Amino acid sequence: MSVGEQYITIALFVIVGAIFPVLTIFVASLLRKPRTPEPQKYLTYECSVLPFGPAWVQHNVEYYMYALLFVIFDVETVFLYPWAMTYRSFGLFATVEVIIFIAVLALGLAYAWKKGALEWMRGWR
Amino acid sequence: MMDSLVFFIISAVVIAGAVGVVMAERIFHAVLALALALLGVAAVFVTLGAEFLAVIQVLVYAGGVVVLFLFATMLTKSDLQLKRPPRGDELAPVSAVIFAIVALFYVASSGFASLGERASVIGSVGSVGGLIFNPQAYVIPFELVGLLLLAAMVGAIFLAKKEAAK
Repeated sequence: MSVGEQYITIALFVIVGAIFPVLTIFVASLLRKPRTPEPQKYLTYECSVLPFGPAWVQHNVEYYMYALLFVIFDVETVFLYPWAMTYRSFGLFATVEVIIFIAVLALGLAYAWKKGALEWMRGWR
Repeated sequence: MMDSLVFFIISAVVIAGAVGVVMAERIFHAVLALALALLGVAAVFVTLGAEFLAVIQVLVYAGGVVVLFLFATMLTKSDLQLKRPPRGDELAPVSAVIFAIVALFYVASSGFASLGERASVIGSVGSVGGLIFNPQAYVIPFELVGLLLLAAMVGAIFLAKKEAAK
């Protein structure tokens, strides 16, 4: 088996995690008999307050900006990791390369900052 | 034997996720199914020994891109009644089958060599870093990726700003 043995643990974890909710809901359905459906039972539970309105509310664009910047700097992190691993073999050259890379992305961050993409709930300049 | 069994199970999960993306009635469920398919692809990478790729797949695609899709979905003023319109396109399954056959022929004829045990060496972080930061290899593309990310970031902020100003 060419797959690392340590991944058996992860596979078991995934399988148990997938089965667990199904099993608990099944056991709960056995326990909650007799079945007496009432409209109140189908309300969304919300700490003794009657729920109102749909759960789907339109979010602000700020959330999207944060997610966008997150993805960009996520990719940056992906490139920093191989650099850290090969730092000893390439040394100064790779470091300069990475500094240029980070500087280019820092330009983008500065643009986002200037445009107010990092501001929360204050509208756009 | 064991390897192919694992591969078939993972492939079934990926295909189930992919089918869920196109079949889900609500767009939110489609995004969740997409996350399942992307995680399954990460598992395929692991079975091939490309652990670094698997980590990237989870970190960037299952973590970042799916979150971006979820936020983009929540930005829309989609009401809960929104359902996929009934379709009358009988051509879709036909084109899918044709595409699958063409792809199968291409893969079968291209003669991909099995990397076997070497895959974990080629796909390791060290060797990827060795290629990226080697002056004779991929240094310039690496910096271009930085520029591409910058362009994507600036463009997206510009578009979102224009949209928000409306």
